[in-house]
Amino acid sequence: MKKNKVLTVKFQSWEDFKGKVTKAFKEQKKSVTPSATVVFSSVTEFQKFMTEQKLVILIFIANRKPPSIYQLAQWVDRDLANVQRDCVALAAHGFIKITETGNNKKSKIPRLAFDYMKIIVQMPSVIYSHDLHEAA
Amino acid sequence: MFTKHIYSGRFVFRVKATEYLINEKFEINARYYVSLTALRVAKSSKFPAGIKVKYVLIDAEGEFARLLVDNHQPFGFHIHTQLPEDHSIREVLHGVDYNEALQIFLKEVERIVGL
Repeated sequence: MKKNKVLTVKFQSWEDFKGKVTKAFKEQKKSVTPSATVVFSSVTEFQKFMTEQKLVILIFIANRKPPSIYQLAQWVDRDLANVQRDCVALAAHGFIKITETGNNKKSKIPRLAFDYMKIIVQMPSVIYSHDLHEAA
Repeated sequence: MFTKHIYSGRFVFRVKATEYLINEKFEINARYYVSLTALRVAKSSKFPAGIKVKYVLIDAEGEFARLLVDNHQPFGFHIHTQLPEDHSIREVLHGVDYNEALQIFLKEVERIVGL
């Protein structure tokens, strides 16, 4: 049974973000980024970040749950250091989490930040999505 | 402030739970993101106003904090400007409130990131 959870990418300009948090502080109102949401400053910055290679990594993590980044690098047939760098970036920006296991915490297991299977990109005027299910 | 009950297996503890006033994350670009948190916490010698604030700029490439503003005693609001090299160097922000500290942080972020 495949999951139907969704991660949403939204966009807000730096100026709008500053305005929102400043207003929240001044008026002492609660201001929290919605869960399962990643907010980027622009579509251009998101597209620069979410390369084809990072999407492939997400698809492999979502569907095959690699036991390590090393194994993931083998599956996607890329250099380990580059895959590691992409995983760190994906984790930093909230798409995945990396857990460390083993006695020396040497083994790093990449997992989705939560069990989503679709990324919905809410562009200001257009909405498109990346389906993480593997092609049959 | 609300209370939370934690069951440890044998005992139930009543603790004062923290509450987010601000919890925002914003991806500036592929390299940097900012995380702003303001938590209502129990009043203590470390947080006499009962608010714990942390504004941080993260360099995602190296996964380290590049700039940090927080407000614990004995410094009050202060900014760590020499991260990640030296966490002990802090510049105290005298006489500022939460919003002024936020504005100082946002301005410094713009300088570092080049916005």
